Amino acid sequence: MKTAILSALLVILALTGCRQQTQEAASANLQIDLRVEPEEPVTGDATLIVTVTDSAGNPVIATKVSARGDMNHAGMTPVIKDAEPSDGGEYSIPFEWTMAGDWTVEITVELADGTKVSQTFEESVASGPGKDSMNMDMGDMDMTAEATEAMDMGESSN
Amino acid sequence: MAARKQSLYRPRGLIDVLDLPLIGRLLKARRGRLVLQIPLLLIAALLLIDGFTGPQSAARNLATITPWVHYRGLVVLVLLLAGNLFCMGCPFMLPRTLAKRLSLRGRRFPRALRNKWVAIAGLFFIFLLYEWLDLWASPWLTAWVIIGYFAASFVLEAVFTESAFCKYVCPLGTFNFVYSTASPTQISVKDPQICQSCVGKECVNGSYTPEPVIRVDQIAGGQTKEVRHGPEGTLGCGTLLFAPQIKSNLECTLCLDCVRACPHDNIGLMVRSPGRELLQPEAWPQRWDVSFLVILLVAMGLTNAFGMVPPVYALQQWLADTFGLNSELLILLIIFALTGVLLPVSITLLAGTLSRRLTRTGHKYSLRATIAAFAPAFVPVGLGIWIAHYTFHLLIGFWTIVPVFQEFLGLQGDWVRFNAAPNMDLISAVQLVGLIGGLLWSLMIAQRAAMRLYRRDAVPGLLPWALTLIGVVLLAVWIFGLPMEMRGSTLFS
Repeated sequence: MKTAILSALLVILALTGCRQQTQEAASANLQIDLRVEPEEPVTGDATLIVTVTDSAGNPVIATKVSARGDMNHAGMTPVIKDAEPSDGGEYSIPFEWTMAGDWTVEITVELADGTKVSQTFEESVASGPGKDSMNMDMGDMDMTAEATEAMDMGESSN
Repeated sequence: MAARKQSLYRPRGLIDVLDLPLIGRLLKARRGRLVLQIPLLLIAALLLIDGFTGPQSAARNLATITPWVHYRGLVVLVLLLAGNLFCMGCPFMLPRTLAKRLSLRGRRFPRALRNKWVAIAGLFFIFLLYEWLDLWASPWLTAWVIIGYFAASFVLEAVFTESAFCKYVCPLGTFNFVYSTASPTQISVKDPQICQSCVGKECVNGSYTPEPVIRVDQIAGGQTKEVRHGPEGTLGCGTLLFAPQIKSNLECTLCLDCVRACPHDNIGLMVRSPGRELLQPEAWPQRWDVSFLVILLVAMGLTNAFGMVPPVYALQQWLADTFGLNSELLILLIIFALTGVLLPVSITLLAGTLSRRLTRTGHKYSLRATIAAFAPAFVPVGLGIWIAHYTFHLLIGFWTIVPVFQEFLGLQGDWVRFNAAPNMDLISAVQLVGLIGGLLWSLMIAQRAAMRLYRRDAVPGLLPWALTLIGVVLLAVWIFGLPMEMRGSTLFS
């Protein structure tokens, strides 16, 4: 019995080394900047403007740029979106803040050589007028449609 | 008289879960508890590994997803539908058992602390820490909480004879104890006559001895019974419950040690009507600590949910601006002390006093006895609030554990497939059933208590308690109707 438990623990420990890792932007000599519109985030539609530059400040062309927004509370559904194509180093991602609170946005940039680089940003989102999305929920049932729409996700990128 | 006592101690029906094929045999086996404990221990190991080495994003780490979404949601449902299975499978008990074997077994927990005040304080501080440190957002801190649990259970079990950690300290266990009083199962003896003639009382004293011992007991009917003790024996009840006198689940961890230790196979896990003991005044001690534990857990349930909606941030800011406070801990302490302790204690004392004043027979019962009579009525409403809160998180994020686990294993997390839009109608229905069902159940228990205490004055005697219970549920409906807003410690940042 003890051997079985120890073996299981060893297997688990070994598996932790298998996690897929994306490279940090700084270590890849890239700069990823994020601008959010509207500038003061409120629940509802938003646009994420991602700028990717190299160490000299020159724009970098990425094959794919995606954003993943997670609430800071475990178990909340993430919002995952891809950027529209761009060739100027600036990428626009249509996004939606599905609820108010603290968010972590991870921007992942995929380069032509297959390298994936990511950077995370913290955003604090306030309740928007008429866009209270995630009631706890004995309130407005109409949020179902909003939440469903918000979860119209692209493919996870990392 | 004997028949009445029998009905108090023994649940009606007497369907013994331990008689069921496979399940019963498994649970009664000497190491049967490990069937639950080992998987939970492995899960705890996973949480520690991911908490310390995985991504520090709460949404993508097992250390935050599992306890704050799945454990909490499942525990309230299992307590309602089955019993205290999470204490039965508690992995913190494994080092405890080791500690118990190593301990000198010479000292009991200090007499002054042999009550529920420490547990109440523990619950208060863990909910306070949950908000202050944003435990729900930190895999790393959650992993440290798990380590703290293992360490505390080990140390307390090594130092004291009885299971002091489970009985007097553990906040999770205390929560389970309280709401297992609504459960449909209870440890009970099959034949009380056998217990009367039992010599060793192994259910509480255990059958473990370092060296094998064989004892021959005289049992009912002039027969004899060979009883074997030895290194393969079982420790007796950790919380010092004597099986034939168990009337309540309040301190039962469902470890089943009493079942395994009993040489007469006279103890079972009996099915009973849910919450049977809540209607039996003799089943609950008339103690301030027990009464306030039940009532304050309701208030903490509301406070815990209140911590997730926008008004709490407005209140924090108002306290900071009005009183010039710049410590978030202090502000949270004020809010928790007011809403989680002072307000409910005041309302309880007021309801108890009114109940006594409004009835002709009220003066016969002390304030303590009056509150103790109505305290069980707060179990269903409290459980309803916790169900409304925790099943919200469980149903919202149930499938997210799949991609999180995939990523833990180094695979691509399939967030699209396992991130289905939550069925808000279902969530709302569960919450409504929890709250309204809890309220009706509570009102029924309170009405029975009022009838028992005040007879023809039952209505005025019930009124303060009924208004309190209705007010609690209205407050819960208001909180659950607000938009959820999870923030970290950003107030003064």
